[in-house]
Amino acid sequence: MVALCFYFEVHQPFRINHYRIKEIGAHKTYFNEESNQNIFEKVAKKCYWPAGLLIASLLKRYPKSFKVTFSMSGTFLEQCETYDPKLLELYQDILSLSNAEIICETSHHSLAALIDEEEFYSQIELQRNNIKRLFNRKVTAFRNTELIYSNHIGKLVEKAGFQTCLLEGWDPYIPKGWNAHHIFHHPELQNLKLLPKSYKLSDDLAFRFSNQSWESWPLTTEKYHSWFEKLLDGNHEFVGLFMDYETFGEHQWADTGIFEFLDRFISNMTYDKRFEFLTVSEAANKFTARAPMDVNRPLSWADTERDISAWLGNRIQEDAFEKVYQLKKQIRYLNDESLTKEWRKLLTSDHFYYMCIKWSNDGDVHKYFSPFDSPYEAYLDYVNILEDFEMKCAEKVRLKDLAQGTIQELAQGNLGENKECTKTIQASSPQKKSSPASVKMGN
Amino acid sequence: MKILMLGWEYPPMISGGLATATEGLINGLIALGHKVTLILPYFPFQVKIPGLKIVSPENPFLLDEEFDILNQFHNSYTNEKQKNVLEIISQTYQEIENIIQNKGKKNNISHYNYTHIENELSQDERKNLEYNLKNHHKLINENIKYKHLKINLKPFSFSITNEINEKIYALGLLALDLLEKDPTYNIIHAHDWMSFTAVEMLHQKFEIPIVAHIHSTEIDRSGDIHNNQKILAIEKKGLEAADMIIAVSQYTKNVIIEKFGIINNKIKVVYNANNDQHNVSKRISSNVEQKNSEPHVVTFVGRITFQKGPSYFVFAAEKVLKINPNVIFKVVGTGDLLPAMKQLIWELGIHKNFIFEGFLNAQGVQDVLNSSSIFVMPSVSEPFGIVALEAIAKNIPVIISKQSGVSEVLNHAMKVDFWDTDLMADRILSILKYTPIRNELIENSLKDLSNRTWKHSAQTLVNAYSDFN
Repeated sequence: MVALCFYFEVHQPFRINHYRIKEIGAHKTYFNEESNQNIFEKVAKKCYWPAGLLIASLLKRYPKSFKVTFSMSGTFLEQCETYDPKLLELYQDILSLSNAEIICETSHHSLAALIDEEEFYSQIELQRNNIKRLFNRKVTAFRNTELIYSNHIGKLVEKAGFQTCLLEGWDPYIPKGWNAHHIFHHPELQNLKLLPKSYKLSDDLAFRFSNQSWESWPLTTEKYHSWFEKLLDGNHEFVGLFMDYETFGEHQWADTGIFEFLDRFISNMTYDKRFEFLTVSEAANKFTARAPMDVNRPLSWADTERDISAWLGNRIQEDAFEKVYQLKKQIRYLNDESLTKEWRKLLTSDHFYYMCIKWSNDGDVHKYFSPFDSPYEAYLDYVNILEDFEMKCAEKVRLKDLAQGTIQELAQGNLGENKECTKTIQASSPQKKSSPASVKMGN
Repeated sequence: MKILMLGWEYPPMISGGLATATEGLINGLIALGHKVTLILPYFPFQVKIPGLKIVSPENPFLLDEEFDILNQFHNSYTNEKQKNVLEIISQTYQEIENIIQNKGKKNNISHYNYTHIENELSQDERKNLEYNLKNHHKLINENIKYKHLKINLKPFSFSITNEINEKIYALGLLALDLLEKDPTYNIIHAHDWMSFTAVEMLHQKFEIPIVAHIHSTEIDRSGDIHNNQKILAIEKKGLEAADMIIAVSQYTKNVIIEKFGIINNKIKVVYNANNDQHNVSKRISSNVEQKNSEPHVVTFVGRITFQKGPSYFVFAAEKVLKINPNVIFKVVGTGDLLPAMKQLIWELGIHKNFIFEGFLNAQGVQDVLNSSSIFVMPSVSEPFGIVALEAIAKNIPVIISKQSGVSEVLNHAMKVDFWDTDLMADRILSILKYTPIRNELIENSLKDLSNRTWKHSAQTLVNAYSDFN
């Protein structure tokens, strides 16, 4: 028997506003409420609602035989709560069913695993709490942003308390003598099970389904089903069908027949006893890890390179990335809720994706998903916002230092002549922190 | 394929982008193995480029046999036939460069300066011109044949009062003479309105397909209102008479459709390319490590006319200086709006940050670009804008108006609407402030540039020609 594991990634970023150099210091709002709401409502109408209703109905029609797994980013959940609470109820309904699972990711769909271990754990914690609060569920499996995974990230995932992690089933990294239709484990951590994506069968739906120049177009359920039958030779046990949820209705529009396809394919599969559906955790429990999977560089599910160059592949991306994580010091020091929230929204990987310059075939995909005219514009708006944000932090740092100075003085009881002097000293030190910005302005 | 080109200028006779474009396209065609004869109204030089013949009042047309004999006299190039074409071309330019340095700029009237277009040529004037031209060529040919005779020949000159009309007519006369001697040309390729009178003269006599190549229209040069009606009429007539139209950009194609009412499928787009690709200089890192104290130079290159949008450059500069006063704005070029531009700068109180270089030759422009941090092209209407490619070849980031043809081929330039001086200023400030963006723009633009060769453009053109077969 071959197990099928559908996993859908649900995510929306908080897109930023245009921000010009002359606006640095004006503290305009960073996030484009209007565009975020419009896009959310558009995607909800095309995908989240119709796909959710279909999946809910499939889960209820086949309560024993159909299984599905979701991961929903914290930023998506926040937008869902704000823009369409009814939609959230639909997914709460879905996730109240025992044949649906939700797994964990970083709350802000961030790249923290690549640079900041502490922030990575913080976002996992946030996401755990989100899921507990909204769905009353405990998560046991993890997927990192864009399926980015390496041996090192595996260690972090394990440290965060997970024994299951999803990753790209990219051929060069599949253990020798095996194929992507098995479960593997971390080379050092035997307990961390790695579930690879079957990228060919997944991308047939996610990317190729409506492509008329694809030799298999149009893809019928029978044709797709027959490709799974080829896996019944005893050399395949687990097929990871991992894809963006927007595949249904947004990337592949309703008029391509994607919904009917999904409905029919799943229905047929549930009657075919040579196959079974499993959730991510069920699959991890059922199968033993067959071999160590050694991933010595960050592997992702994006582009033909399957690397991280879509987010960190050029100078502007690296600069923006470095700058935003440098702000963590101030964020930790201030421990200010609203600033931390803003900062985390700026960590979302999409902001870096919009700055991708690769204009190959892949680049076209990036262009389609970007709200910006060019990657350069994406970068400029972002770094201008960061500089404004840095100034905002510096002001708060100054206030905080001032307040602490006053408290100290109160405690010491010397509110007399020394006061003004102390004040000057305390207030001047944070100014140094903000000085790089003003020096740069002077260039 | 044998192509007869009707041109106006060719290096070293340069008044704008037309000469560079003509040169590039011809080089591309020759590299593809085609033969080109270029007719010019004034060209007191000799080229020794295999595959190219230039015919002008100074250079009578010769048949291939005659041409070969002549070249045996000048036997300098026959031995070099095996040499790389490009090498021979650049050698020739070097020689021509030297000649022009000695000769000065006499008789260098451009098609942008056409105050006399209103005066039609009389029948007598036409006959006179035809006679003078034939006679002049006869004398030149005799000089070549009987080297020892050395008849002292005065340079051919046009009337002072009606120069532009005479030149336009002379193109037609030269072409007629040439086609009578050798009618085996496959295509007549006419560059811009100055050659359209000749097109009309040929159209009636020969059945060779005519291609009109539009580098700029009167609408681009002068706008919708203060334009020259006579030139507009010549353009319209020429566009209608042509069997095919080549536009230097989609932008220009749209102008031709909208303003001249030409049908869409008669027009093909052939983008210009960069002449300097063989001497692109690599200096990304060195350019960036400019000392902070040194002011950055932001450069405008172009005629100071309505078309080029100089005032938008000034307004953007004002906005830049409010935030970053350590910037110098350089203006290369001259034109009717120069006094107005200077006055505006005075009124805004930013004259200390402006340097006017005046008109510079090709080398002068290259030098200024070399020492610039940013190139800005705020054109109101720019059919192509080849100078942006030259700037890229000098490793500087470019900010170009969306109302330009070149913006269609540059993926890594900052593009702004010409009127959006706020954004233009922001983009200038941004490139100066953020080194990473500057480096990415330069590096990726150079890649864009390396894909944009004249050989590639010529291939597109030849593909378009094949419609006639």
